[in-house]
Amino acid sequence: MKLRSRLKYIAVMITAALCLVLAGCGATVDTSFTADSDFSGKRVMTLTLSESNLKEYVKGGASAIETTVKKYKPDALSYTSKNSGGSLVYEFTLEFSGIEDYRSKVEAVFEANPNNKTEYKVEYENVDSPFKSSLAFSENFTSTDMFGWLTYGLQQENIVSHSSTSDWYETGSSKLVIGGKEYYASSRLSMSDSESNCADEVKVETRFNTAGKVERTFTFVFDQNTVSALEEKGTKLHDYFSALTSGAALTETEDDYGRVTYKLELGELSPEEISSKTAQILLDDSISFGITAAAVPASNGEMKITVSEKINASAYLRWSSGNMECTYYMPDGTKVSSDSPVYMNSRTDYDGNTYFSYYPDDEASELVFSWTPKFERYGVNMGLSGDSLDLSLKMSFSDTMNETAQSILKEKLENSVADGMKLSDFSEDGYKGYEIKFDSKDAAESYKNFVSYYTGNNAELNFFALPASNGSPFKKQSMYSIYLDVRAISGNTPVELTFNTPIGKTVYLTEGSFNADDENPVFTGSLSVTLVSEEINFVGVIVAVLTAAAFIGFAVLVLANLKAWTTELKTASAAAKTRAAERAAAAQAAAAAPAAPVQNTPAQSAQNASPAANASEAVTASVNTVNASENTAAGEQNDSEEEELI
Amino acid sequence: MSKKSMISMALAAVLLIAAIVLSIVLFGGISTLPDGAKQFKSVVNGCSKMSASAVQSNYGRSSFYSAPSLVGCETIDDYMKSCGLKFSYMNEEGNTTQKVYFVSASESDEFEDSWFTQDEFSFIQAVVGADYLNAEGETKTAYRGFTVVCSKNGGILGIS
Repeated sequence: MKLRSRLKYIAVMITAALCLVLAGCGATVDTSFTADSDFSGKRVMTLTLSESNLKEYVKGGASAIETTVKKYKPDALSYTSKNSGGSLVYEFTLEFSGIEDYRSKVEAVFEANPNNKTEYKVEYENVDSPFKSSLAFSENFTSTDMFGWLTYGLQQENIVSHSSTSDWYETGSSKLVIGGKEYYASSRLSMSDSESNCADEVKVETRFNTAGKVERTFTFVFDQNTVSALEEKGTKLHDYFSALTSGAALTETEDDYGRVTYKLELGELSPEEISSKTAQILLDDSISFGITAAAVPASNGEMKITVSEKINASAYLRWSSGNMECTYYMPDGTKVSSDSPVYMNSRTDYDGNTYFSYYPDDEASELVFSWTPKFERYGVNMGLSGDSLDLSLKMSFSDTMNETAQSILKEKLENSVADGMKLSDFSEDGYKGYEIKFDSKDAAESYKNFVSYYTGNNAELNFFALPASNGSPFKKQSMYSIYLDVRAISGNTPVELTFNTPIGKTVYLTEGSFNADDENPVFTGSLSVTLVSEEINFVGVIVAVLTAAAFIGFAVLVLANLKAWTTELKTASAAAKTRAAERAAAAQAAAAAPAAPVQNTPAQSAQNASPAANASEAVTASVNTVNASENTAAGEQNDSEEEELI
Repeated sequence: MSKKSMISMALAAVLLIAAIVLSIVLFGGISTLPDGAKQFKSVVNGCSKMSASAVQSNYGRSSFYSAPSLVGCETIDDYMKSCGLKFSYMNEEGNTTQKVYFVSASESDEFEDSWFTQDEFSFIQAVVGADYLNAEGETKTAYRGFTVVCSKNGGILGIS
């Protein structure tokens, strides 16, 4: 057992000695990295090859090395070479003027080796704001990794006799100085130096309107202790946010949990203005914002809205992303497009409005929405034409509405207007729109057809007229019942109602789904109204006039002739009485003495034709036959006078 | 009598007959109101005059319906509400009815409630106007349509 242990110990010692020998058989690489606060500086990599190694492993010695360096060195590196203490010393320098310049030169050095497999990455952050002071630098490679080009050259020229040229380097010392401060450095350079009084939360709320204008609100939430700490350092947050940008409204609130919220509201601005103001407020010049809109072909009026956003609040937050939320309020009815590269949550706020949110990373993002533009104002014009209904529908939008949306609305409307309808445009009160007049012969059917074409849904319009009366002969009335459903078109938007009263008619509109007393009555969804149309009944008036005329005529006639009629009636009455008396007397005489036969003269025969004459003759004959002829003559005269009166 | 007198008397008689016929046409033929409408008109006028008897005498009697009780009614609003003549302005405090009046009526052929049958009932569509004072002292006018259910035997059975 003891022997075995000793043999193991000897084996380990031999292996360690071999490693030391092999490790010392190549070039040593020392690194000195120096950059100022703008990341402007240089990386110096010193490669030292001992004289013994040079003789032992390099065919051709120093001159062969020099030839290879000149042939394969990338332009990003400059170098000097010298003999120092028997060693060959090469000093390679990479100078840079900023982080991007450094990155590009590192890339050039690595790519100078056609066999490069290193995924090089350089990270750098230098934030200096009242909330956060952060300086961080790190690389995922060493300086020896940056000599891949030399390894490749040595292999190509076959001047190194060492079994593996990749093992030919040995990492030496490292020095890292940034912003005048030296940091501990290992073979992979890395440092981090930060101090923060950061916000707990940053929210950016963006509201789009139909005109393509944008409102943006920034919300910064700080713990009260952070607010106090910042104040001790001389930063009063209210003053800070007030001075941050012009034209923004600032509000400050504190909740029961000691959290202080600062809200900066930017009014309605163009996307370009929003972009520059956002960069100003979030203290990052790389921030950008844009919006584009385009009609979606064959989509029944759909519009694609693309929002380009590059945003971060790393100046305020401990981490560059993660606890910053961006929310977007889009025009009513907007949805996230299925081809949006960024996943967005759809939520509803306390007021019932839908919004979309996402947590941005440091990269530029495209948020794609789809929206079907809608008219903003609706109106219904009604009128009566005999027993028919005159109906037109007015739909309009603000004349500032996005032009793509305007053309989509127009096209959709034109495609929905069928025969018998008339489409015309109008402009009033800052709104532009269209009026559709429906076929007055059958407004109900015409309206239903339009709604069906325009929305794909069914709608109701019931209209009927009934003869009506209030009992007066001088008024002609009709009663109409109307039920109009516009919800498929206007949704919950109030619809203005205008009723055109026909000339010469009075119209009574009943209360119901709108207030008839209002100067500009409106209804929502559906209209249900009974109305009475009233006008003068000329037939009744004429009949009344004729009736009055008949009564008046009758009265005038009666009054004008009353005296004459009375006199004549009295005379006639007296004559009738006289004749009656004469007849009575004659009858009496005839009864007392029978008359002697008398031969009638021709005149007497003629007189006998009248009963009255006979009676008179009878009386005369009985009294005085001598005067008979005279009496006969007098009787004839009386008869002729009566005939004249008649 | 003379011929002149005879002609003038005949003309007067013709004018009298014409006046009577036209009166019958005017007040009887042209302006016919259905019985139910007449009764409803009387109810409306009765409410406006706050006359309980004028209102109640127009109601028919059945096992389901009877004239509204108007006991305790002191204002036109009270009468109207008791009769079912409710307007939306009555729901707001401070509005007071000044006058209620009949505007128009029409006989309806159909009624949406199939429970009623045309054999026993007739239906009147009527519009009533009301002038009222609002809380600010302004005079306003409102119109509302009502459906009146009448018995064919006479009398109003219900107003909705």
